[in-house]
Amino acid sequence: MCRFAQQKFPPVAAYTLGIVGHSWVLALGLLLFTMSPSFPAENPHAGGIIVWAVHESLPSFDLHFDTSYIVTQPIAPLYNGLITQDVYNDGEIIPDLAERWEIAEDNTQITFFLRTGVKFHDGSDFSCADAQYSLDKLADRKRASPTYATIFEEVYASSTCRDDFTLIVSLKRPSAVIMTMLSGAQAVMMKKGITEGADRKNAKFLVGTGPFKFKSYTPGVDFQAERNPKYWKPGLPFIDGYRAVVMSDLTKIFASFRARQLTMTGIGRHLERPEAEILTREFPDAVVAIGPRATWDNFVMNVSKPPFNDRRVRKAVALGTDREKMIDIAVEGWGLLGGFIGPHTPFALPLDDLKQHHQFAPDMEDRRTEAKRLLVEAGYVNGLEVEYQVRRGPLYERGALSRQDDLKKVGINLKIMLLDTAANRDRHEKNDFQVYTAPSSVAMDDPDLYYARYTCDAPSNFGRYCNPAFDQLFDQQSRIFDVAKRAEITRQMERILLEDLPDDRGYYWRSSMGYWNRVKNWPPLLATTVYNYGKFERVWCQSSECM
Amino acid sequence: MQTYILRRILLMIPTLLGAVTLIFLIMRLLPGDVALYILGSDESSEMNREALQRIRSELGLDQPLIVQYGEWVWKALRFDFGNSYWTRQPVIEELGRRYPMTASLAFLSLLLGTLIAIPIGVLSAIRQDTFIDYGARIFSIAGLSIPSFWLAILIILGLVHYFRWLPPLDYAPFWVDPWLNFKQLVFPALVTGYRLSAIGARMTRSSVLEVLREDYVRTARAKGARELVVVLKHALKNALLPVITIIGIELLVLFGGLIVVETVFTIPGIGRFLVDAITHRDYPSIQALVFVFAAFVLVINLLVDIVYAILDPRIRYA
Repeated sequence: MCRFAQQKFPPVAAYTLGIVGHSWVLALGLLLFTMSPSFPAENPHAGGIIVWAVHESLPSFDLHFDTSYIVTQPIAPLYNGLITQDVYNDGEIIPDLAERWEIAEDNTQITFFLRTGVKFHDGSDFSCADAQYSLDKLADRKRASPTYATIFEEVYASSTCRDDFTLIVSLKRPSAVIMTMLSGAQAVMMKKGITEGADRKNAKFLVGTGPFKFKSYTPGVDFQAERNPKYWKPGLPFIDGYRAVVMSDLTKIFASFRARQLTMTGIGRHLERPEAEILTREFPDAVVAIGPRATWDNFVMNVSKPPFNDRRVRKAVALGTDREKMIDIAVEGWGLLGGFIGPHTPFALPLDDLKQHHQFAPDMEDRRTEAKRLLVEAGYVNGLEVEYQVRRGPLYERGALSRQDDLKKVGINLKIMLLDTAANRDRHEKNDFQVYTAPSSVAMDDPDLYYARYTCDAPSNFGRYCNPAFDQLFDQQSRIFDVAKRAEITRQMERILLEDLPDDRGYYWRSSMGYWNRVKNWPPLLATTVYNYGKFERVWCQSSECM
Repeated sequence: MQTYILRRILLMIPTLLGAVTLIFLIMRLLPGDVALYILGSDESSEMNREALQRIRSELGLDQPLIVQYGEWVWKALRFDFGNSYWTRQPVIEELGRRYPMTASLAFLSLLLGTLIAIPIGVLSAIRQDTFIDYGARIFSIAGLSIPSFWLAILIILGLVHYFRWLPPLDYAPFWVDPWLNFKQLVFPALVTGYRLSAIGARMTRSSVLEVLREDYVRTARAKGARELVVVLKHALKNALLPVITIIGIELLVLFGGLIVVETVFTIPGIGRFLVDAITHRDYPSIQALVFVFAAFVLVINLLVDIVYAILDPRIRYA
């Protein structure tokens, strides 16, 4: 049992939108809530620089194009979105540059009423034309991340400006995911024409409306930003600036944190359990934060080829895998059992329901006996040999070894092949694999993002799983805004996957980080904190000293 | 001698071309390319074949290998190494930004290594089979055996555990801020310099021992010269020849060590750039770096030969 303070696992915030979607009055209420943030009793201190580590240099400054956490964490505070997630309130969707919004009766049109008087860092005014440009850019695979654009363009039809401060977004079909995507850290509002006017590697590209402005960037060293004194939210932010330092080695990151060169190990990252224990033992002023994380270990089986085209073999894998042991070995206890959708979301089957499925039953001996029987029934009397591709990295390798040990006991001998990321993905793209393990994650906690990979035509459906009944339910849930109704369908979908087993979920990771207690009003860790952490807008440092 | 040097310089051209061709082919044999990274290094990314194709086409990766190779060589002849596929900046600029850190680190490592190696080697030789000698030999064998990444991590952990201190996160070239540069590089230089000093000390010891048995040393002692003069003036000067050779060769090995040390200590030098470039399949950067490293190796080899000839006038090259 973990002895660190557990943070509250939130329901997925974005889904309050369902209510908002049918009542703009509530949206207005949310607006009023946002405009009067509740701060702790102590008055915030102005000043201080927050320093944290990211493990790689920024490939570009374009948050629409490069959506990885490496870009999102340092760049997002330079911008605002139309709407955003309140990280202090379970990630609820709240207004940002849009003061309020209305959703049409048929759920295919959203009208955003934009703030007036907002200025970009270069002094120009923010208006509807900028918002329209940004949304068009997000839906364009050439100007935005193909990952993001692929999902966004499925739903987004076009946008028009009724006037300078009213944006009308038309959708191709009703979709609950659109608001989740728009509230995500990547859907920021850029200045009209920025892509055509500046290279996305050039600092001139970084013109936003956010609480911080670009200060400097040294590839391989750091990215620095400073407080925007003309930020449209008066009095915010409190800190003078921040610095994201490039460090690839976890030992160095932790050592630098202990030497007080870093304010935090990372944002929702870079702290493992042994290091957390050192912090709690030796550093009374260090805070160890842990929370859920929308990242999981999976064992993706190629269902288009033998032996995994046989459901009995896939079932044998699921039965033979001791998930709790894997959590102990791979992440030293810092993991969560879950099915095919984040267990922290309202869309997942409750753990008790999950345990009704044989592969989650506690009796391992019974499971192994059944797994062996299934293999024999499938014709593998003497067991089988499988090439198992594993992405390099201690976290993945440890889990893979645990699985190898488990499956050997039921007669499946995994021959581990360690590959780096590029080689790994190359093999997946060419459908040249039997089974692989790599961490998977979603940047936004939405069923569309979790389940798209299992639909028949999804480009990321590397395992070639296809079940038309599942696809039908996928389409159906995607159109429903009401969380409870949507969850009914997503749970049906999860039950299908638990039977079909396109892959086998090992465990869900947990986000974790260490920071000094001089840092005040740091939000609780949510499943997608690595992307959405509140842009340091309301964070402050005691006596203006962040370390 | 001049003809010899000229011939060596001309021979560098095919050697360089061979090295670059080899790395060009090896990199293309590895599965995966930078387009996969640009689309997202995480498995959650929706793999989009159309986008993959577009990026590959933009980068020229869909061209036949011979065309890619020909273009690269033609540009490299004009010192245009192209743009990095990953950072999208000119590779020459990337190298220019990083080389001061690597050069400073290499120089400091060499300095520390030599300053440690020669006194220890001499002391070990003149106090042969004493505890000083045993200690020096343990020091040098440990230096040869301990992997530099392990020593680097140990130093980082030791500094944090005992002093709650680490080299600063800021970087500055030596000529901009020498003190900051020293604080930043002294521990990484100790790691890389240790191996160098170990080899240098062992070589110095055996070389000095050999020289101390020479007739001219006996003659110097017979003349009544002080022991210090005998060792430093008569023995050491002559014993240094093989030491210089080995340090020259080890300087090349040192660059391998720098790659590891720059990665562990998070120093934004050329070594770390190479590691990142290989990870991202950033072909232009890798090829440019291999070109630079190969040129460096050839130049160092040539310099060692020239210094050898200067130190020992009996040596002449055909």
